[in-house]
Amino acid sequence: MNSVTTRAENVARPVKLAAKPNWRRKLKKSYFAYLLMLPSIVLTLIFSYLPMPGILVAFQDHNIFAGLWNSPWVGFKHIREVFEVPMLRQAILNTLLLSVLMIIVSFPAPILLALLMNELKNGLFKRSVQTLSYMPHFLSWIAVVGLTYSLLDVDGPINDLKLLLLGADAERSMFLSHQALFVPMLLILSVWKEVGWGTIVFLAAITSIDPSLYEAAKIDGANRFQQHRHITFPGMKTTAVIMLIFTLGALFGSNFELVYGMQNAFIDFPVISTVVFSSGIQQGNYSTAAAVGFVEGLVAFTLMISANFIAKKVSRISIF
Amino acid sequence: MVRNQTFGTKAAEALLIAALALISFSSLFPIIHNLAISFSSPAKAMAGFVTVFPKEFNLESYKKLFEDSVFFQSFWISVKRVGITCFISFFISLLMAYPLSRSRREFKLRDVYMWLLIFSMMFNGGLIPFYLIIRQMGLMNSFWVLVLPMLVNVFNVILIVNYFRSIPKELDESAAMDGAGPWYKAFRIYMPLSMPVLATTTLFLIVTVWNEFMLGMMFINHEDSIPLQTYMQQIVVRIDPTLIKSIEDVKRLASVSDKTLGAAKIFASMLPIMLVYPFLQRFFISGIMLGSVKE
Repeated sequence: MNSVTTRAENVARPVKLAAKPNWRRKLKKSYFAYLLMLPSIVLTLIFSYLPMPGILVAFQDHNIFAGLWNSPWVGFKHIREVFEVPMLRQAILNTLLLSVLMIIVSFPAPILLALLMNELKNGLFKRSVQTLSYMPHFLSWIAVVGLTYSLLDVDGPINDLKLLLLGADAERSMFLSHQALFVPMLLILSVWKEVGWGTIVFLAAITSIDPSLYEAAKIDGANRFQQHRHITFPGMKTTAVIMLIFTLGALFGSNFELVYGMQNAFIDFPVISTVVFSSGIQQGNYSTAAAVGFVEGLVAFTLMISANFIAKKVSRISIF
Repeated sequence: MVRNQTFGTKAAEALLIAALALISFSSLFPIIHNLAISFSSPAKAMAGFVTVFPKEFNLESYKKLFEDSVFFQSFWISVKRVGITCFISFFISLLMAYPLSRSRREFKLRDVYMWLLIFSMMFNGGLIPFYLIIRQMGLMNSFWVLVLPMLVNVFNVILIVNYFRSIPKELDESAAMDGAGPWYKAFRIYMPLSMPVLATTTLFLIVTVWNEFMLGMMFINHEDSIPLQTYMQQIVVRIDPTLIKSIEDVKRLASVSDKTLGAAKIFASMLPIMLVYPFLQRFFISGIMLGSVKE
């Protein structure tokens, strides 16, 4: 975003005609800028940058009373633990599994829905579909979990539907306590909440495609499918790749609310974010939790950089 | 065009409309179902007779809700939190965005500060370091722990910066000609012209802050000072693993808890968002696009 403007200004620089401002005017100008930015900069430094050295907690046996600089350093002990303690290893594997499934299911879903929506003529129906499908995005995960609980109740509508389809003598299930149904449920919920919202950028990408391309294709005898294959998909490619890189970067650390909200006594599915919360914040094992968080950050960073690198090589699209 | 309307395309169109109607319905159904339960009698709701329409319509659950002081206490804390956060954030985002929207000639270190913000959005120390810093600062159990970390929303600042940059330079120049200083330009020219983007960012922030529950869950231990979503998290995710030994326990716990009251609480917690949504919808498409437009 910055590089584009920067280049334009570099070109413009030689024709600068304005008188050189004297040092007082210069100071006054920057004084103004710094004064305005002061509150935001201070808050960013405190809440985003000040915690960063705290990641060193992962390399010591952190004692909350001794503080960061006086706790004993233990090197990679806790990082090793992440890969040796079965529960932590399980959490990493689960996070990987969930992330891969999320990419496979949640990423293409909005693209498909956007293609379907695009087939509709502009009008009341299209607007209603959009309005309704965007809405779940704005509900909190807690509310979504609450709604799900009552839908999946033993006497709830989903069980009614099951009985309707399988006959009245079918057994009502307790969906929420089935380990095997847990991951599919997470996927369905995340698609339900975000699919409509995700279509916005893709619909915008489709709208920006030059309509004359479709007319030309029609004249050449391309059918609906071929038009999408050769015009719509290439037209959406940039947006899709950029969204994919962002998704990959954010994916690994996310899903806390969802997994935390849906888990219960019968579900054994720790993911990194829930382990960091339960062992770190609730039980006070700061060092172990920080080590898990550190590994997570590293993986997320690697994922994002490599996705960016591959995208740059393959399609010349990248975010940096 | 008449020849185009073959049976095949008509059937495809009908299928398309049916599919999209189904998707829309599934977006709405859980909310309607919840609303119907909240208006039904507890007995019918427990027995699972309620689907779309309330059975034995009554307002009992809402009466109980109004008597629930803990619920209203946390509701009020959330309202206060959203109000204060959005008010302060409105001004400091605006103030941050103005210098960042200047040209590099006017503000040499612009890009340095831009990257300071963007970097903080992409990388962070993680949950534990954040938790330890908040503890060290003595913000545990303080109302401000719910507000301060949410004030600088980098995404919103970037939206405002991009909008400022799209305002014609000529306007800026002619104001300067007429003797307008930086303060005058920022507050009398840029701010009034940017109301659409400021409305967008404020509405987004209202939703984000209202729905946020982690800060309350991590840093506030007193039941009477948690925000609404944290309270909801406590009653929704109510199944305490230590109490449950068998499936029967789950059934027993579920039957004691009042389903209609729970539904009424869920609905009340979503209500502010649903009230904001129509306004939000007018803005968010253009809002998102504002952020992605390159100059």
